[in-house]
Amino acid sequence: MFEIKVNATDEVVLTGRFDASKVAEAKAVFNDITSSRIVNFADLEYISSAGLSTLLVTQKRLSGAGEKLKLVGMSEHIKEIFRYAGFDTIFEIE
Amino acid sequence: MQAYFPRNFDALEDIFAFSASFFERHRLAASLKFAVDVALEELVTNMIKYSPEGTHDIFVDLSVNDDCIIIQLVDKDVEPFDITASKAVDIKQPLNERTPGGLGLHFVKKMMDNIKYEYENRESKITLVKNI
Repeated sequence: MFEIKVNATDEVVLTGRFDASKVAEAKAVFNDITSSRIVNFADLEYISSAGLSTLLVTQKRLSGAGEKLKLVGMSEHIKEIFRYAGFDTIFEIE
Repeated sequence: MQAYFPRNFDALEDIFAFSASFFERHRLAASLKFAVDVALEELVTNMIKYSPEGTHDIFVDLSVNDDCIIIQLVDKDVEPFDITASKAVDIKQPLNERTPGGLGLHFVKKMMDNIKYEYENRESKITLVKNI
């Protein structure tokens, strides 16, 4: 199960498992983002390179306009995969 | 445990359910499942992407002994693709120089303890070991 939604405070909330089969669903939300946002990982169990790539493409596009994604609420496993990718230096992770 | 999975991304859900059954049957630590699932996903999606001519289902075998989990994937009637020879990813590149590709195999190399690639009779066989 995977769900992506934008809540009342404009946070992007990810839930469940973000694998390669869910990229189109996630892109439909991320491609509409044009200003800095918080992405909430608190209910995300799993992510693979497909999910990280979707976030990377969004961060690159936003950075051109001086905007960025801030990632919050990650589990230790997800933090670790971001570190393996070196993404802990290109995203603000709280 | 062995099973065949169709060559499409929608098979991932069944592959994760298969690994969940394996973890449950052998009472393995849940903390290892993240790495096993990442390895399965990255290698299966890699086989689908880089062997589009493949028509056979992908064979997955999960087993365990006292020290490790062994993951084996077999893709029949495909060109060779030696995952152990893939180019290293420069994870220190700044954002504007980063590109999305290459991370999947990088994760497999970081998360697994041993990786072996064999190719014979147009069959790719990948064997991964994850220490317990």
